[in-house]
Amino acid sequence: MWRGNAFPAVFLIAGMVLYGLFVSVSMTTIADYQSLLTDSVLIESLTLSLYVASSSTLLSLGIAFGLAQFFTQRTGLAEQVLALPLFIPHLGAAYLAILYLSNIPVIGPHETSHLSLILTYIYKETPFIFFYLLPVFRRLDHRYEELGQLLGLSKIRRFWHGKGIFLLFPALEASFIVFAFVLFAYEVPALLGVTYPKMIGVYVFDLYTQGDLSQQPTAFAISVVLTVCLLLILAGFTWWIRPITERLSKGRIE
Amino acid sequence: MLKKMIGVAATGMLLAGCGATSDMPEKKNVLGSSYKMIEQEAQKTTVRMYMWGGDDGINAYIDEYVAPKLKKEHQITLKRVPIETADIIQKLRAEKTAGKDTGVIDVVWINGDNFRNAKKDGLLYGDIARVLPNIKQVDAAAQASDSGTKTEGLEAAWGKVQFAFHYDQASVAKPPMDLNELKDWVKANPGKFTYPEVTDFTGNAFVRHVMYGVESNETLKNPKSDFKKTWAYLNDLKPYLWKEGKTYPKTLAQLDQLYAKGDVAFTMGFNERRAEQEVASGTFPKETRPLILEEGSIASTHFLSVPFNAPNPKGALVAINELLSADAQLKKYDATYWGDGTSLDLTKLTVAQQQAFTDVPAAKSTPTPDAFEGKVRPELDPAFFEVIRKDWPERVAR
Repeated sequence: MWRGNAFPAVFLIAGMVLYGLFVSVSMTTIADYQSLLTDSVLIESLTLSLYVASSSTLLSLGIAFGLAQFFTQRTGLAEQVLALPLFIPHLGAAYLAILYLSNIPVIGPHETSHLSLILTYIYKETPFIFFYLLPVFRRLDHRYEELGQLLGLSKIRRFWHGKGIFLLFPALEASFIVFAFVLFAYEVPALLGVTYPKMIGVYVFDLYTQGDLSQQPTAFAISVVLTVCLLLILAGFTWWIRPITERLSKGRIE
Repeated sequence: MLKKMIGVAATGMLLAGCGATSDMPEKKNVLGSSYKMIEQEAQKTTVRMYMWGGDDGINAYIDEYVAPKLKKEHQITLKRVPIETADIIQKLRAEKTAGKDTGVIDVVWINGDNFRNAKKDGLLYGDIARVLPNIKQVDAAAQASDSGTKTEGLEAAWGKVQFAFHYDQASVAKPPMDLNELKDWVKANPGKFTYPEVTDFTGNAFVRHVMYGVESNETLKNPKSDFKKTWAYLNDLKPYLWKEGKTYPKTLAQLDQLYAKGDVAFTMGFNERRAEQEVASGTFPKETRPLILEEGSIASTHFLSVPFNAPNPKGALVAINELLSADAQLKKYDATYWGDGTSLDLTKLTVAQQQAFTDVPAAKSTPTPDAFEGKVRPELDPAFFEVIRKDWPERVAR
């Protein structure tokens, strides 16, 4: 594993985010944030985005979890095939959806069920979570579960103590990355989404680029609010959930 | 080592920042000097033209006709860079904020909202029109205003087109002649008609045509009016549109694809000749025919301009002047490459040149000039574009 100094990379990445946030905030006034509260178009857009992001994340996580479990003891071509979608850009995946799902009612692109959006994300994100979790699965010590069996624990408790506590944090981490990405994505919903309501990324981009640009402060305000929310979740991860999962996996708490 | 590198980079940035504040006295000189001088000094330079690149015919016109012509007549190398116009404006705005006095763009293809934004933010070079000899033969009305914004010479009219519908005669036996008949047709043929959403240039124009048709003259004077009748008309159509109006094509390109596949029977757009090439290449149905509704057709002009920080303004001016020449305009009008309406006032050309324009053959998909008789409508104020963008999602699409 690389043990170099990570500081420059951290500095660059964090600096870009914080500078972007600073610029965005400086483009807005309090009134811009107040107007967001009464913007019903925004609220519908946000509801849709949360729905698509959370269902894509949960389903991808579930499938990836099953696959990782399956491939823990096996290696081979099938595992490598799963890497294929990682090499297809999101835009490409969206075009594949247009190509293959177009004429299927309810599922196809531009349907109010938004299934083509979710399917595209499952296709793209499942391998990501799979390869994120696979090493963790492979490092799991199966003797914990054997011990559980020896102690006569129920199946669920055996799983939880033998595997669950070690997998909890990586699974949450991967889910957070996918969730944050899908929530604010542009390309896939721009191609597959319906005219109304739009996913938040598309809505904000339209506000930012359109017409006399008078809506730009609103676009900045939405981005600021969303970014701050995601940063708060991240902070919660680092200072609240991570310590808990660490203590869990070291057996300090139940 | 790393600290050193960061230091070097930081110093570089500082220096770049300082260097950019220098004044540019050259600008006045260029617009103040005679075209002969400009032409001479522009020789053997490179001109970078940034323009929307989504149409093969248009690209071929620039690459295969204009670039060789400029090379031959002025030893100018023309480089076409395909990019969305809105992105050009964003780029120029960023360069303006950063004080970057020498950019990379020499010529931009621009109109409408993008021009209005560029003008408002001072992103254009100046009154270039008065320097160009060929501006004399350009249609004065087209040159004066861009979608309701005065051009003030900041850009030169490159082409002038009309809004037209195109339909497939094989599936539309008796085309509707006005908006009411269109509504009846849509109701009788569910799923076979739609229009791009209003964030798209063409979709927005479709709604403005509906406004021209159903709103009173009084209402049309004030962008702040409540356009009830327009929204009512569009809501009447909605359940009978493609996908039951639950979604709309995001762009004109998507509507064209639907039309090409036969999913819908109509497409629409600025440039009454635009279907010729598509039919010839087999993309559009063979029996594509034009349709101008009774309520009229909005005329739209598109322009060429030079950014405030063009690295080669002289070359840019020569290129633009050439693009406004009768030869170049004729080649552009011809459907071989593009089939774009000319911005020239034909009465100001020689008899032979006029004849050449009249002689350009028109395909069956192109309306005859008399189809527009009494139907040409001026563009509405830009404020209407904005109202449509704001209200349509809530009052129609929702």
